[in-house]
Amino acid sequence: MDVFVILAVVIPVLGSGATLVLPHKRWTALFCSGVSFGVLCRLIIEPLPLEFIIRLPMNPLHIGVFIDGFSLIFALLLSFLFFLAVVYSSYIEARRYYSLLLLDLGLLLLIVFSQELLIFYVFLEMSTIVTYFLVIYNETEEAVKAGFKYLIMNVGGAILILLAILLKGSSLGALLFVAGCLVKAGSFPVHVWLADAHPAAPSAVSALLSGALVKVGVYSLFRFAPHFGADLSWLIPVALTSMVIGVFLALVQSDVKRILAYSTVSQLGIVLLGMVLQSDASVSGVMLHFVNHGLFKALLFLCMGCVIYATGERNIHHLGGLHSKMPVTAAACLIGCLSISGIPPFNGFVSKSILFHALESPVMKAAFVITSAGTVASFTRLFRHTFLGKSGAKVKRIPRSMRLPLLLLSGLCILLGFFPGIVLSLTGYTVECDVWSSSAVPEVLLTAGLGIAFYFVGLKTKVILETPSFSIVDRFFCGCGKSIEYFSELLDRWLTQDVNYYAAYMILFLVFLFFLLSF
Amino acid sequence: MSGILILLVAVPLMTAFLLSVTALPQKVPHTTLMKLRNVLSVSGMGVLCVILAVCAPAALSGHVLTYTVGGWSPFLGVSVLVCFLALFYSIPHMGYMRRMGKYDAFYFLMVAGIVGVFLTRDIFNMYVFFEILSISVFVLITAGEKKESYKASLKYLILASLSSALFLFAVGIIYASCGSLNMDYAAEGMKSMVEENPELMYVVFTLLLVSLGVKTSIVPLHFWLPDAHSIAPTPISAILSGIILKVSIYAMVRLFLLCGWQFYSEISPIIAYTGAATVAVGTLLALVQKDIKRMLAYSSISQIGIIVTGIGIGTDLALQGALFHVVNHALMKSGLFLCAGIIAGQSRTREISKLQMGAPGVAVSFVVLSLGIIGVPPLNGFVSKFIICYGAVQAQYSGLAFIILAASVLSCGYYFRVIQAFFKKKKRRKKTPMYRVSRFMSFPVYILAVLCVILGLFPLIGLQIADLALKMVGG
Repeated sequence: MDVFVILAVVIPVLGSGATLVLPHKRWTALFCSGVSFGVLCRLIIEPLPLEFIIRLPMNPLHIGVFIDGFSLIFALLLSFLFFLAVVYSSYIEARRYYSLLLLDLGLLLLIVFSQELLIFYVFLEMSTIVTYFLVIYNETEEAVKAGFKYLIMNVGGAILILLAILLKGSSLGALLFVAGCLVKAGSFPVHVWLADAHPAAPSAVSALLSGALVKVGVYSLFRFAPHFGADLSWLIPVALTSMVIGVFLALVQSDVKRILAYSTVSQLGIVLLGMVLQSDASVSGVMLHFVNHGLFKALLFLCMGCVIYATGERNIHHLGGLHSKMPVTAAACLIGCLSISGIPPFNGFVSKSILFHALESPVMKAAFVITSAGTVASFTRLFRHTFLGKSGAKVKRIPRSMRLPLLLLSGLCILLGFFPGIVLSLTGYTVECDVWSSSAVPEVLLTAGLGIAFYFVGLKTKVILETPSFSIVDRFFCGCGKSIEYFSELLDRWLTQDVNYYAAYMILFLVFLFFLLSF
Repeated sequence: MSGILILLVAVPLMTAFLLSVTALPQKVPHTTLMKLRNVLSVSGMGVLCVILAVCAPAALSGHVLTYTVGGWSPFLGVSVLVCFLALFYSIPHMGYMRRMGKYDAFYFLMVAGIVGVFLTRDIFNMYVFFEILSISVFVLITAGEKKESYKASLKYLILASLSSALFLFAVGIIYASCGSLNMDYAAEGMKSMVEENPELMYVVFTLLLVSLGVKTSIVPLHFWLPDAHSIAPTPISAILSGIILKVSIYAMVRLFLLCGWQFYSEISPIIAYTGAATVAVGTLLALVQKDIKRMLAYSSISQIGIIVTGIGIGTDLALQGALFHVVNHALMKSGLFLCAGIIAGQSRTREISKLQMGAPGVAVSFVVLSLGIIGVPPLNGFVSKFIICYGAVQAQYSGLAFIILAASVLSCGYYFRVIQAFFKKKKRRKKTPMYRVSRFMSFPVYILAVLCVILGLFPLIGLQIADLALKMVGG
């Protein structure tokens, strides 16, 4: 059904223009993202995979569209999250915000649907730039700085992908492609943009960044790495490191959104690990976790957005006792925390246990358990320090439109916990893994116990009370930038001279060329 | 038909003459004279466009006209278009220079030079038109009437005269050994020269590369450019970066290809690596500039480097990309300079970190045009850069593709430094009288930005033109 696919993409893109001119910008945005989601839902009953080509006039590139179960699930997740983001952002007035959101939705859908590498790259780069303007929407000093880091690293990643496309067929091309995707996915050595961009962006945008945008990197790895014949096994240590490091960095942060951002690094490590293993069980677990993480991480970000909106405070040590003042947000946040910690009966539990049973080597299992325990610890900390304890801060009332997405998302977290088959049946992968078996109980108890132990040890030793200042990786990247700049300054000073020298250089160059040619 | 082609050069020359005459009457009030000059210059440009439009169908169908505009007429068209837009932009400028009538007169002299270089089929004529061009540019750079502008102009004067001397030297050698300076005959002579006396041919090549290299500002010869381009009045900077650099690139392609492909493939690696060095140095230097126009000037150097690299790679694909990039860069960079002029005027400073957003339309155009230069799809800059890189990889020059792409990441850095300055919240200053952005200034910018988007979405328009131009040179 080509028409539906085209509609799903074209309506948000047209809508992004319409929001700039029409008087009811929010309703236009809601309508366009809602229609896009609705049309995509209609595609579920169509036979998959779907394949067709759109030709453009006077343009040598053709947009090849390819939709299978995985891309459809991802597209549904994207458009749903964007719809919720539009609902949630009721306090934002600027037209360009809605316009950029819709444009980004259209571009991301095109990324997900595109069949060829070059077209994929084109939309990837476009969406990178559009997202930049969303990240710096707040226009604070912090946002502009974080946006710059986001932009340079992501454009760098995209350029790596372009270079890979040019060098396709060689082993260097495969390596560059994987590296570019890792930057997009915010995996361990290149995660620094992620930790800065999330806190600086508006809450709905951080939810989208974590829930949808970083997954594009993993998705493209899954879809296009086979084109390069890339050997992905070297990614296993990368994935394991980002799992473990991400979660422990999350444990020690004091900014609530930064906690969530680092936890995204670790969760994407888990997804990456499952993707690299490429057994049936692990891939189906990955697809499920893809959706689940999108839902609960968006939920958590939106909850924290409500907290920040109500109190104007982002530091976890200055928050507390909000459960009585914001009961709905507290309940939704609790559901999100339980989901991400993998406690039954929420959705995180299902996908995590499928993934856990797909792992083979004991090292991976150990890393997985440690990561899960760390997740439990950091979210126990997040929930306890935000909603329990003494109450202090004055609370602003949050509008109903901000609460609605929380309810929807937490409802979905519970629903997918009981019926993961909804997602799995679409992927085409079926898992013969009884997650509700009795063996699950000791596993859950073990990780939860370990996590709570981590938390209390951290509390006693006061490790998790102060923000540490180790950011070697971040400093490495900033240092690279600074050294390029220093070098350029040297060059600039060295080359600025009197006009006599310039004339002399000209003659020297002439002589040099002449000698070069005569030998 | 040939009569019309002569008109292409004659009309701007005549307009220049008429404009300089308007400086004579003493008793007529300035405002009347200004109006007269505006009418004269706009109508002069209008006539030029009409003539070009008359010639265009024949030239585009691949028919070589006497005097041969040939496939290059689209390039001429782009140049005239940009000159026209820059002329509109300079209408509200009421400087002293303008009142004297010199500005417009030299402006048209410059246009005559540009058109002449594109049209001529004779190497010596090319030299003459280059001289006309350079002399009018010396004067136009000083139109700001500040101390630095004289300094910058002098710097350009010295280096450009040296380069003209070298060019003349090369022309002399060609004449002595081929007996003709008509490009058709000279091409025959030069091909036999390659076989008989290759050393002499190397000398000619070296002289041409250095002399045209000064005018295109490839790397060890680029020193005059940042001063001249940043200090000249905004419309002149736009034309300097957008068109005049391209004129000498045109001359480069034309003259180097005269020697035949065999000789060209021998020397092309030198051009390619010089181009790559230009990309690297231009980008690095642009990164540390604090003045927006200076940054744009260095960015021009790096973009010129990309074009020269494409020419140096020398395969059909790379040449096509390079020629397309010529058109694209002409549109984008002149648009950027015009934008920068408006933005700097509104924020009353040219320092990048203190710039303000000002008029949203101009800011959006600035974003679009700079994304084009960075090479973000779906804009035209992406298409041409991608084709050049693709050609580089196919011709086993992967390193050059790497340099070009790495430079685009860095260029993303320096352009977004400007763009993010728009979004930084600043302390409200005391109310200063508004800087009025006249429509004459903002419309050219919009037109250029829209053209970039159109060429990006439908790149075949540009690619076919580039292909045609290549066939004309004998590719």
